[in-house]
Amino acid sequence: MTVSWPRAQRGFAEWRAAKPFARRAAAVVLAAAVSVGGVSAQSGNVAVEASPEQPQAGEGFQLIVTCVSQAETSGNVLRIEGSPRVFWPDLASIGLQQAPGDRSSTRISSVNGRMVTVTQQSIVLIAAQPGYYVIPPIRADLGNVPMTTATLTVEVVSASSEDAAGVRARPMRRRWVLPAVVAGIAAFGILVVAVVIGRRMGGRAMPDGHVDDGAAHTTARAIARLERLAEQGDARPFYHSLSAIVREQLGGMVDRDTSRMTTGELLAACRERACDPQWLAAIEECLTTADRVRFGAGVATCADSARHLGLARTLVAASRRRGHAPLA
Amino acid sequence: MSAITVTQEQIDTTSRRAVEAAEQISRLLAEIHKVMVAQEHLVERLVMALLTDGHVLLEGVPGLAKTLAVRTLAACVSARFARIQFTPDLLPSDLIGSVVYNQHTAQFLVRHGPVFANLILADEINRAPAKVQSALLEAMQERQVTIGDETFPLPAPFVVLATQNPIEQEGTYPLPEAQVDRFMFKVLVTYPRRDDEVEIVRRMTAVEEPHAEAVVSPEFIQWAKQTVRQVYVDDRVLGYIVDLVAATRSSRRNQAVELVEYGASPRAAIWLAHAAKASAFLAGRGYVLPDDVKRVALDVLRHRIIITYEGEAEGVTSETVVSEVLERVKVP
Repeated sequence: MTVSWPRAQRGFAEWRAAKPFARRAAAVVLAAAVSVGGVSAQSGNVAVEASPEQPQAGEGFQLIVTCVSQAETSGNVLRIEGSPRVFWPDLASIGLQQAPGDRSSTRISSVNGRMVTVTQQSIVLIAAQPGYYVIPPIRADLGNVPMTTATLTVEVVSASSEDAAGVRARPMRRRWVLPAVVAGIAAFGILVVAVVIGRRMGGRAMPDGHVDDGAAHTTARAIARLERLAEQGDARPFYHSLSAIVREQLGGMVDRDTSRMTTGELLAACRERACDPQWLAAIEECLTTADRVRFGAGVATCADSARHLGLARTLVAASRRRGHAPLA
Repeated sequence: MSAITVTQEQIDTTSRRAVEAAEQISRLLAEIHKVMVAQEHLVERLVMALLTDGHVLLEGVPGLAKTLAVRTLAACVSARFARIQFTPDLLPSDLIGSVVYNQHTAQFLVRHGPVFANLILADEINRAPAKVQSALLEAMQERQVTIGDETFPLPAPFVVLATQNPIEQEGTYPLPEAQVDRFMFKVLVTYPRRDDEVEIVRRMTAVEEPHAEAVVSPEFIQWAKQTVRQVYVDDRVLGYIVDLVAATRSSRRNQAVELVEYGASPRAAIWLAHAAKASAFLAGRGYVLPDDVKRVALDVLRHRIIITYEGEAEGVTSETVVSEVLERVKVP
């Protein structure tokens, strides 16, 4: 890792002499490395910056030294300068405590066919008190070439009362985004709960004995459709509709989602509710016939259909009267 | 409309046959339970496998009457029974047979192995190395074996009932997932209830040990197998079967399924349909209901779902996933 000052200077000179586009590209690299979200001071091909720009008292901020130099190629071999040796000044004397550990990184970019390396070294500092802190010039040796940064002034702002209480400070944008998101989720949740409750209440008796007219109307239409299908004499669609109505009514009684239950499971749930055995036998016979017609291509007599239609009517009427209470 | 009428006639015929068979099946179950106490679930699955040419993997600690159940079933159906104790030094030729030289006749003769039987009990299948397991599983799949230059069909019915011990895993060769998939059912055999255990001790320590007699013939089993295949499965029930199997592969519906690495294969759907048909047949029906599918789903699916490491760390099992899927998928 040998480097000469002329070579380092040549790196910058090449960078400056490069075509505008290439220079812009290299500038982007340097700018990205040096000045994103921070305050910086540059001298020659070495710069120092603080990130974030206005750190808070009691919180750490990074002090980053960036060096730009030229990498040389010899045949297929790429020679890259090593990390600069940074001599950190005594910052404790100006009230900045250094956190243990440091960090370094090297990036290579091609400018006008020439390789440029950007190396960074950083430490984390903590200012106990708000105020302006003047970072003296920092010496960084790249190879045998000593270089120094310009003086950097860092403004440390006081922590907010929230931060003083131990809560991590957030940028202004995030401060309102999070509550807004939480409020949005809460509102959506309330809406969903309201819809679910509304649906579950649909068609049931209200506490004062009245029935939700909308749900009652829907059930009445379903029963009317069932009657039309019975008149047409086609067993399959009739028993599909019948099964749907009976299952829905039973689902309200056993307080379960019957769309995920088989007939056997539904009847078992009814038995658990200690329903009237006679009524349960009638329901079982109705659902078994419906299953036979639906899944076994079975037929049913007109008498069967009439009996099951009557059962569905009774079930709906009972549900409306009792608010889906089990028919014990 | 006429298609439905024809189907309805077929279904009615199948239902009549199922009702006719019910008497024989009841006798078979009663005979088995002369020896076996409780374990109704295990016995029912064994009979279902017998009726669908499926194979069963039994998992349970020693002493839970796994061997007794298979032996009793074989005795009740007048079937040839063979028990093969799988050991680390077992060779494929010990299983399928080999060609031996007869000095008297100066000819090579084929000697059939124990796999040439109707009911095979592969005891502790995970104790034999992979090449022996492969030989058996190939026979299970192809229903024929090749010894020397000749290929021999295996007798019908041919049902393999393999046992695995969930404890003492040291020195075992766990079955690869692809091979486990060939079993129709994986049945977990659990400890009996107290009253049942009292009855077991009473029966087994009586003056005469209980024994079962042949009550159904292999011909009846063949006839019943054909009838089971004729059991009608409506398109909506088929759709339900496929939805259930597909739901085991999905990883986005809820947390339990996100922890699944691999779900069940189409082979699982095929076996689920077979098992549901057998369930309907045993209930004396010529058509399958969603109830039949749900009744057998756990035993058909539990060994075909692979849980991720994260899932295992969370304590999720394949049973958890199947139960969740059964609760989630809409019933037709």
